[in-house]
Amino acid sequence: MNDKMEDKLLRYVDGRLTPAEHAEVDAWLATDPALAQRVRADLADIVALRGATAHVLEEEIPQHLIAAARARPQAKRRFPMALAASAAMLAIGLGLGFTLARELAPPPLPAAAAPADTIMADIPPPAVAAHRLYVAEVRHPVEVPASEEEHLVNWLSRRLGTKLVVPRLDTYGFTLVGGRLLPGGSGPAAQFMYETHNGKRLTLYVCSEPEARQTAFRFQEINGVSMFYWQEGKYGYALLSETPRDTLLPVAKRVYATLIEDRKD
Amino acid sequence: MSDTTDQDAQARSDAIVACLPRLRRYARALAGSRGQADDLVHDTIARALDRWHLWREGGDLRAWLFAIMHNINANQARKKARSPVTLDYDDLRDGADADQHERLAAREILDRVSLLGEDQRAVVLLVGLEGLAYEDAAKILDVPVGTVMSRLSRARARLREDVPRARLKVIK
Repeated sequence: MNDKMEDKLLRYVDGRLTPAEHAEVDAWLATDPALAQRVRADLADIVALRGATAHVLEEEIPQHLIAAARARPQAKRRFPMALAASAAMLAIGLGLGFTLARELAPPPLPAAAAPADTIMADIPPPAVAAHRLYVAEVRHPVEVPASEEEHLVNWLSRRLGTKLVVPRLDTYGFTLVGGRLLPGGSGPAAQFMYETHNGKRLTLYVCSEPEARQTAFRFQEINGVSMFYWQEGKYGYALLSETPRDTLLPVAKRVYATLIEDRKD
Repeated sequence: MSDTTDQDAQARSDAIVACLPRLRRYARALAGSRGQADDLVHDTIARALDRWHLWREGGDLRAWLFAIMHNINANQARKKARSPVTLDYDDLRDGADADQHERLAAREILDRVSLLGEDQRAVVLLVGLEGLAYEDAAKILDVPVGTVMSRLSRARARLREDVPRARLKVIK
């Protein structure tokens, strides 16, 4: 069979011929039983395929899909994405091989449908638990105080198997109180605690993750605790404080930038 | 926000919602299970809204959404190291009742479609199932029309050859 005939047979099956062409193909089929059998098989497959999937058209459409379609694009551009974008710019500026396109590519998902948190499921719960437990501690909030910062950093770095950096957050009113070693989801975790002059506390939680990846910033508020969390390479980070998101945001940005800058060395 | 913008947003949402049944069907045939398919639809909607400024008024919205879905699915398939998709009728039906004959016929065609490679499966679904013109399928898949037709021709030949194999699978 030549290409022209093949082309016409396809169009015949798909109903894309002019009436004259259609009649022409009908004439071929009348004289060629094998060809007629082939066309019948193709048509039967189309009918079967439509039948096998027809019920999907009748199903009730899940609410979360309708909600997604009704979302405003501008409203959906939540700030963590903008932050991820600015962090991305920073990383480009520093000439790092940071996987950006992927970070920026996934659209932000509305909370209702967010299987999104599966990507970082390990970080938030222990980070929140550790935050709640130790910010409430008046006399022993940390294991090693800031006065022994060098020892603290070396010790925790050794336990986590990476060179940890303690970001300076004094410009935001938070000074380092100290840190401690904690059990994390998959190995040891570290917690650094900061405090303002009037006793507002903030913790930075670092844990190792079983799988290396880069994620965008995520934000979550759990019973008054604001948390930004993200993963870079094999480490997960969470920054928590009982403070509104907008107050915590510049601090989170600073922490992120410090860690990125450190990677450069 | 002005009234016009509100109306635009409303019209846009309505147009997308109107496409949902077909997007879901295509996703189901592409991804297999209901859960994965609806995730794919969700990602498609979110990305479409995110890139709405790229949408040209007056074009075929459904074709544009299909193109986005196709790209998302291709990226995800690459990430998943190309695990083959098996279309399972019971999965597709999600527990709904069907008579025995209908069930067998449906399983049989889905088995054969899932034996196709991704490229061939896409044209079979876009042209055969969705009834799109070859030109629209070509735009969605970002290939020349001739490529759509040759893929379709090969896919249909393959589907015809696979009849005995799929029957066996259904019977066993």
